[in-house]
Amino acid sequence: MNVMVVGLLSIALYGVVLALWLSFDKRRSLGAKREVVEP
Amino acid sequence: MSVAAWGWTFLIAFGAFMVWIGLRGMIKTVTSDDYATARGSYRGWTLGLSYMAVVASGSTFMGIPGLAYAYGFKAGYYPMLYPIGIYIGTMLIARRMKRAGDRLSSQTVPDFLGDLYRSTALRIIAALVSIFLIYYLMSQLAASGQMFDVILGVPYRWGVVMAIVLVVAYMITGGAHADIITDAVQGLFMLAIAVFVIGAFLVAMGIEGGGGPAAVNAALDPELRWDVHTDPSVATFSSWWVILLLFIAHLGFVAQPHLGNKFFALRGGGQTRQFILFSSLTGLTVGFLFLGGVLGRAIGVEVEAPDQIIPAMFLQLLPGWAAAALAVAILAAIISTADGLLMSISQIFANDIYRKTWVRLRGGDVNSPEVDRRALLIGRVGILLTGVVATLAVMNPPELLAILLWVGIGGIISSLTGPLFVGLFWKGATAFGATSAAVLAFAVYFAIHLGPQFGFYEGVYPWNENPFASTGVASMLGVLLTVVLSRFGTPLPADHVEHVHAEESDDEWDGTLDQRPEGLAEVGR
Repeated sequence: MNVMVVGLLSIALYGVVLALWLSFDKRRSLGAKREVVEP
Repeated sequence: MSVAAWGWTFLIAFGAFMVWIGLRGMIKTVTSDDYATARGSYRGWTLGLSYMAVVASGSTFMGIPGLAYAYGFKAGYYPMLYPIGIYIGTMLIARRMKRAGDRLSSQTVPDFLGDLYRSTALRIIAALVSIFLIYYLMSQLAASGQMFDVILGVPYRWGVVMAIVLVVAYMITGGAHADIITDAVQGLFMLAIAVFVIGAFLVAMGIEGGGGPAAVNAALDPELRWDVHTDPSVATFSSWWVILLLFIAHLGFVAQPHLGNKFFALRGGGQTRQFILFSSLTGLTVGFLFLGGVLGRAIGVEVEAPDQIIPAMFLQLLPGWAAAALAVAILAAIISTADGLLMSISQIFANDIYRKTWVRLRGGDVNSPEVDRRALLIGRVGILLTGVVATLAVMNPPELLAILLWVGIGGIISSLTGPLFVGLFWKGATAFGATSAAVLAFAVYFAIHLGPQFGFYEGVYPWNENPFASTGVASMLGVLLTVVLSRFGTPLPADHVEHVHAEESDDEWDGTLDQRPEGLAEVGR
């Protein structure tokens, strides 16, 4: 395995972390939204 | 037209554009908070590009390709791993720091730590450590002096002076607004060069018969090729363990004052996602500029110093106008870091020392319009003075610059990572724990790296020579010490902890809240 493959695999792993974080963060943000009260 | 003539043309156009942005920023700057943070003003993608440009700095274009020129593919571990560390660190704290910093009206990282822990001692210690950023600024100025020398044929000293005059001109007027917008534009330039260099590597530009990356690899000496991962004689890549520490050291990179203050400029917490996505994808892309160093070595470009490989290669491979345009874009990269550094150093004096410490100790109101006007003035004068001091310090190209640079970066990361990360995630963190951890972690960094570097004693290899590995160890220790020593301090008041850690309201999330500090709300924009 060469240096470029190790580096690109590390970056792919970052991609997975980023995707997980984006989905996790989205759910929390929706949870924090104020409820709309009908008049 | 010659390369130098094209260079001057692009440089004058670039300078005029930056100054115009500075003047536009001035219109938006009324309070010292606008000047220092541009709070709540920018969308995620604009700020993301800007943040990437500040993170990348001159080293992405000069130092790192220089390492790749000297050591071959293994040098790529640095630019492929450091952005991952930095952007995971950013991902962890950006949203929490934005939320808490807005609520506490903090303007800088030392200020934020002081507010978070309600500790004047911590604010002062963090501010003092942060003054070391001036070495970082000096290294950027020295790099721009070299760029002027190589491309435009301007003597080094005049190059340094021209760079600082340009930066000071737009920073004094536009403050954080000018910093952020110019950096975003500079980020676009940098991205364009990176895409070009990656393309040149992929088609093996300049190598007879072309043939792609494998041809580039084959043209290198055996010890520089991509199947060689470590080199025991090079401290930065001496073993796998040290390469891992390179990643860990950069997790806390965000604790530096010229980076951590950027989150306050986001238009609401909801922009964090876009911010992280943009900054990290572009940041990872520009890291691949190291391939330019590898390619330059493969095609046998001769340079006086390895750092000059990218501009030297442009001159060899491209028509004059394109080489000049790319060189001006590299200058943009260097300048984009220098402006943020100037801003942060001047705010240490205007905000951390004057407004939040001096005024408070004398029993004054930190949010009164009079104090605010004075802080704004100190910030502007501070930019001028910092610029003059840094310029004088690099009039002769400093030999020990790399060491001095890491007094700043390594010292700040080692000292502030623990207090910042632990305080944002753990409600039990205390001022005693954070303050003592900041001091002890800096002491450890000094003992294993700076002491040997200053020649006080021999030290242990690779720690004595490798600032990343030393910073990695000291900052991890800082996190551990903040947790352990917090047990011995007085807990922070429950209402303060709740105020800092509570989820965002809709207004905070959407950025529709007027976040100017109380007392200044009536001051018009």
